[in-house]
Amino acid sequence: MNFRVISPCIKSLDFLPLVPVSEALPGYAWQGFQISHFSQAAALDRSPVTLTNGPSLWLEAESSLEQILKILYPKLTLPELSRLLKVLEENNIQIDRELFFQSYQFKWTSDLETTLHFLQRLSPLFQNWISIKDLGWNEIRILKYAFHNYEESLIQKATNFIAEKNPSRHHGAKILEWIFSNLDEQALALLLDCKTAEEIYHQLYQKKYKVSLQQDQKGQELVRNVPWPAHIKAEWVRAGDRSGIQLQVFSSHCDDLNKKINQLSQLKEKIENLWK
Amino acid sequence: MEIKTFENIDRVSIDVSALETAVANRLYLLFPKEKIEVVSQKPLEHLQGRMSAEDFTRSKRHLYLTEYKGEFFKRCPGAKPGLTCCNYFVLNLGLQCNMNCSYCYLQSYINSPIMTIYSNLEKALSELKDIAEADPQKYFRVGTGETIDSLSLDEITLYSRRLIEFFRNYPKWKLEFKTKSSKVDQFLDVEHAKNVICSWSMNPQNIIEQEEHHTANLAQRLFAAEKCLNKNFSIAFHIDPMIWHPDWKNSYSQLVKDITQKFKSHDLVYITVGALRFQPEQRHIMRERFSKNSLINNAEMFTSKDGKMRYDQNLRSEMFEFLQNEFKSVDAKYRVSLCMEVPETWSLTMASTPAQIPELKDLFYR
Repeated sequence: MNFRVISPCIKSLDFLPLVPVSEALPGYAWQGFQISHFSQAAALDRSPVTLTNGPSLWLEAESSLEQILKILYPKLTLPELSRLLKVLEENNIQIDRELFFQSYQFKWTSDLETTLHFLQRLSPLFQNWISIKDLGWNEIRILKYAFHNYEESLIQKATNFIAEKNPSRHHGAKILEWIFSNLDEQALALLLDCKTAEEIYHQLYQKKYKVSLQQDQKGQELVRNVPWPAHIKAEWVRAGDRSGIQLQVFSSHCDDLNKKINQLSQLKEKIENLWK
Repeated sequence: MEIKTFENIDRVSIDVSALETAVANRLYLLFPKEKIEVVSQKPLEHLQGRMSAEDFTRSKRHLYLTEYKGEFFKRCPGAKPGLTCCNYFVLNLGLQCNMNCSYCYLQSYINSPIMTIYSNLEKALSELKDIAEADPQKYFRVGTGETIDSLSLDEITLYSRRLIEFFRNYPKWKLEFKTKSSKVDQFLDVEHAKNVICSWSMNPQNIIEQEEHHTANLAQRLFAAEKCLNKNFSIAFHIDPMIWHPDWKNSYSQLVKDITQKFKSHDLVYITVGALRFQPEQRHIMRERFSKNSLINNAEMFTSKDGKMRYDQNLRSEMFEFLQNEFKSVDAKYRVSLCMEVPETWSLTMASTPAQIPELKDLFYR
C-alpha cells in the first residue's frame, strides 16, 4: 500500500462538486493539487493519504488529470464543468478539452466553452438549479446570446428569479430561451411580476405564440359551441405543429357506440359551419 | 444590393491537386495574386466540427478550391420516409455559399470552416455518364443548388456551361440550376437540348431585404429569369421559404403579381412552395448571427413530427392555399406544388397528394 502525505498540496482545485468523493475514501491529489475532500483540507494537511483505486492513479507522470477526475467524479453537470474549467485555468493547468468533455457526453466546441465562461459569472443559485435539473448545452446556449446582447445586471436578475421559482427542466429551458431571445425592461417586468414558474411559462408562451394562441383560442371556442352528445369528451389540443379537436368516446356496448356515432354525424353541418 | 462576389472573398486557397485545373486558372485571372495561396492540406482543419456563429460567418470569406474525393451524385434530402418529394437528385459541386440568408439550412448542415468549390467536375460528369449507361431508359432530374448556390459563383467556375453541354447528350434528363443570384450571362450563349431548368428562389422584396442578405433583389432575379426564358431555357420558381409576417398576404400577393405580369403559366415549368423550417439546433446560430431583428428569430415555430421546427400546420396550409389561389386567380394553369412537406399538409392544401394531381404526377413519379 502506498502512503503519501498531502501536506505538499498547497493548492486546491475545489470546483464545488455537487457530489463530493465519499468521505469514507481517502483524499486524492494530483501533482500537488488537492482534487477531493475539499472541505477537509485542514485535516488532510496533517494526514497521510492512500490511494485505493490502484497504483496507476498515483503515477503522476502516467495518469492524466482527465482520467483521474472522471474516476473521482463520474457525473458532472455543466455548471460543475464550468467551475472546474475556471480553477484549472486559474492554476494554468492544461487538459485535453475534447477528450475530457467527451468523457462526460458533451461535444467540446468553442461555443460550449464560451457558454461555460458566461455560466461561471452567474450566481450559485442559478448554477445549482441548472445542475439539479441537468440542463444540457442546447438548453443553456442562449446564455452566450444573452451576454452578447444585454447588460449583465439584467441577466443576473432574470436568472436568479427563474432559479428561485424552480421550474421543471422542460419549462425552465423554454423560459430561458424565450426571455433571453428578446429581453427588455418590459419583458423583465413581466417576468418579475410572476408568482410561480408555471405563471412565467404561460406569460412568456402568450408573448411568444400570439398568432398560434389566437388560433387555438378560436378552436377552443368552437369546441365549446358544439353540443357534444353526452359521454363524449371533446377538447381542442395542440401536439407540436398540429392542433385540432380530440374526441374521447367511451362505449361498453355496440348499440351504444352506434348511437353515439349517429349523434356525432348529426353534428356534421354544425361543426362544418363553425370550423370555417 | 447583390454581393460583389469577389470583393467579399478575402482569401483564396488552391489545393495543389487542383492547381492545373481551369477553375484555378480563372481564380488567378479574377483575384489579385496577394489573395491567393497554394496549399497542400485543407486550411483551418483544426476548426473542423460544429462551428460557432463567428466561424460560419468567417467561412463565407475564404474560398478553397480542391478535388472532391467522395461520391458526387446524391438523392435530395426531401426524399425521406414521411416527406412527399419530387424525385430529385443533387449534384454537389461545392459547399457553402457566398450569400447570407438568415434561415439557410447550411448553418446546421456544414461543418467546414471554409467555402469550398470542387475542382473535378469531370469526375462528377463521369459518374453521371455511368448512371446513364447503366439505365438508359431512366429519367433523372438533377439539381446543383443544394449545398452551394448553383450560379452565384458560376462566373468563377463556369460549370454551368460544361453541365449544359453534357446534358445536351441526355435530352430526357433534366438539369436544374437553383439560385438567388442574377448571374446568368456566362451561359446564355451555350446551345442546349431544352432540358435545362433555371430556377430562382423567390420571396417578396421586403423579405429579401430583411432575410436574404447579399442576394439579387427581386427585380434582378426576375430580369435574369426573363433573359433565360428568351434563350429558351425552362424557368421555375421556388417560393420557399414563405415567411410569416403581419403583412404576409399583401407581400406574397404582390410577389405573385410581379411574377405573373412577366411570366405566363406556359413560361414556367413549375412553381414550388414551402414554408420556413429548420433543424431545432439551428435556432441558436440564427439568433447569434441575425439577432432579434430577423423575422426568423421571432417566428412561432413548433416541433413537427419529422423533428424540424415549422409553423403551425393550419397556418402553413393557409399560406400555401393563399399563394396557390393567387396564382390560380390569374391563370388556373400555373403548376404549383409543395416542397419538403408532410403528406397531411398536401392533403390540407392541395386536397390530394401529387399522385392524384395530373399536372404534378409526371413531375413526382415519372
